[in-house]
Amino acid sequence: MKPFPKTPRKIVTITIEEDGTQTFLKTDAADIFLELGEVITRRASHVEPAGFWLRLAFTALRSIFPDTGKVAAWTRTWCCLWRVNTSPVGGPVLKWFHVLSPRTAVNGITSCPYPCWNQVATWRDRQSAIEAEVKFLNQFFLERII
Amino acid sequence: MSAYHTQKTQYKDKDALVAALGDMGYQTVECHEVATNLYGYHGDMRSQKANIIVRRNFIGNAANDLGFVKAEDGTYSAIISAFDSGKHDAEWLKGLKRAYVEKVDIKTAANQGFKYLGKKIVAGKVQLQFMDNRA
Repeated sequence: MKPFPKTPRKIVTITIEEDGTQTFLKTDAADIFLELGEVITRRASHVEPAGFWLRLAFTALRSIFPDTGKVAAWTRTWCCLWRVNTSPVGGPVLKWFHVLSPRTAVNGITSCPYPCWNQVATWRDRQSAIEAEVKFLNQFFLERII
Repeated sequence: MSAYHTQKTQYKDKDALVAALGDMGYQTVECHEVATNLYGYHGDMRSQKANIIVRRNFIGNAANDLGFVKAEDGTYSAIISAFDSGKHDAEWLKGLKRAYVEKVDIKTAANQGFKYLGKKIVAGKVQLQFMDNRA
């Protein structure tokens, strides 16, 4: 059993650090690069319910049941608002300015021309949340200061 | 939820390593199936042997040969004399590794039917993007 489910995507983005270490999101397509050296795989983020109580239930279930199991699959079908939490890589819970202006947001430089940009970003469609998550993470890997 | 891979790439691809050395300024590189002796700055033959060699006359005055020896597992490791470690220091090696990773990624992707979409560079980091064109 693989430790993480994969994010299905056609675009592969690879970030090469100054020391030659490379970082890329786990996808089926990215598997072709796994043979190039030693790999460590870690969780990058969570797409989780935006509502507190639902998120609590979600977190409890996901801590009990494996990511690849039926219960985890069922939790992904919940009809709710979703948010993106990038704390596993030291990132934020995405706010609208992260989504709408990720380049300035990655290193904490925030530009919020509208108050609503500072609110936690939520999506009705989980796939849209995942797409925003992927876009943010790739920018984050490129611009973060380790 | 996403996961990500962090990868310490090893030198395994001869052609990509030669191309990376080219990027680092060494256009003339010898490749040997059987490891060959390196030479010192006096022209003295050293006991150390390597499969990929930049001869000292392409490196600079009073330099020793720079070599990469292939291990049984197929990976190459650098042989840099103490004398040349000022020029070929940790920063230089990082640059070589970056150049190698970029070349080997592009080559691997092309071999697998991926389309190279381009790269961007931010503060010393390089980001490559590929489109998976496989059916």
